[in-house]
Amino acid sequence: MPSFNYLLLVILGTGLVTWLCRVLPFVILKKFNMPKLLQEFLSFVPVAIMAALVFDNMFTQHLGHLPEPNVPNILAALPSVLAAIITRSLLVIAIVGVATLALIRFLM
Amino acid sequence: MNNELDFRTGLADTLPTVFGYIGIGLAFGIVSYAAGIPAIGALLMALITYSGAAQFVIVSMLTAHSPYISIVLSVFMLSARMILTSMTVARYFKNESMVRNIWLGTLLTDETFALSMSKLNYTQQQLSYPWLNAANIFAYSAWAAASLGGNLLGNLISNPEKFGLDYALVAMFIGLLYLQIIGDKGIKLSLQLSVVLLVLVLTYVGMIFIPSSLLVLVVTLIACFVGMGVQHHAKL
Repeated sequence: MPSFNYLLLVILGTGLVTWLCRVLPFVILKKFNMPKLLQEFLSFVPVAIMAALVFDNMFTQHLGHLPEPNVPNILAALPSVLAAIITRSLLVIAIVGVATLALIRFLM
Repeated sequence: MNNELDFRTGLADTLPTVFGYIGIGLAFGIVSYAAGIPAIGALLMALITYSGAAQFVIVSMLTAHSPYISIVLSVFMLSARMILTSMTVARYFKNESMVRNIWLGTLLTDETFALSMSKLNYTQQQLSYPWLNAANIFAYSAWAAASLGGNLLGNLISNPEKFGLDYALVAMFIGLLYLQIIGDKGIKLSLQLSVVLLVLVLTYVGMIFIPSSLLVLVVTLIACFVGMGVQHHAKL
């Protein structure tokens, strides 16, 4: 591991980058109005980004080759979806997902 | 969830998601300890970088002795999707002061963004400063505490995967995606499901040649374009 000073520089550099990504849209949209078409575009962001974050975890990437299904993660997703439909509680869904994956990893 | 938008309700609405932060924050803390990062380093990274995915990437790149500029660039590519989430949320705070806008943006995360989108379906498309501020602060504190705790526990637990903790966030996004699909009345259900299916295909195909740090951003942009095109065309 590099020196603490270097670690601190990395933290500050990456912190600045993530902060700008978070804050600039708020600053710009405070000053300017958003075109109608952009609003329509953004209305798809929630469903698209959440689906992308979920599916990203269902495969293992091998650049240049077809992705490999992440079988434990896919198996753990099924009870999580069921828990979502039945309870609609994020806490229950998270616990069900974690417990299922822990069980699968224990058995495999 | 209900239609209240005060600070207390913000805390209450965020409470069920805190388990997700604690799970993944502990996992990050443990991984950072294993990579030789001191507790204060893990805490500062959680407080300043404040991005789950980015923090894991930083630790692995530090371990691989990657050059400084490539670490920062990777984090930028990974964080660029936050431009989209921030833009989506910022629309609801146009009438708040600039300082409040900057403050809300500073602590906005994927999870409080997703929570806000769910909340909109209960409040006639309204959000409030106290509500989002409470959600942000709660999430930020839980994340920092869990990252620090995980690092301190690092010498006790060597493989966090055994407990499935790394899955807490994935499961939470499954739940948030489901709530979004059933709750969002602005887009037809069939179109929402089509977008989800498109994202699945794009993710699968994209994994062949798009680096993982850019994948979520690229897939989201394409899916939103297609969704917008379909909806716009249907309206004409």
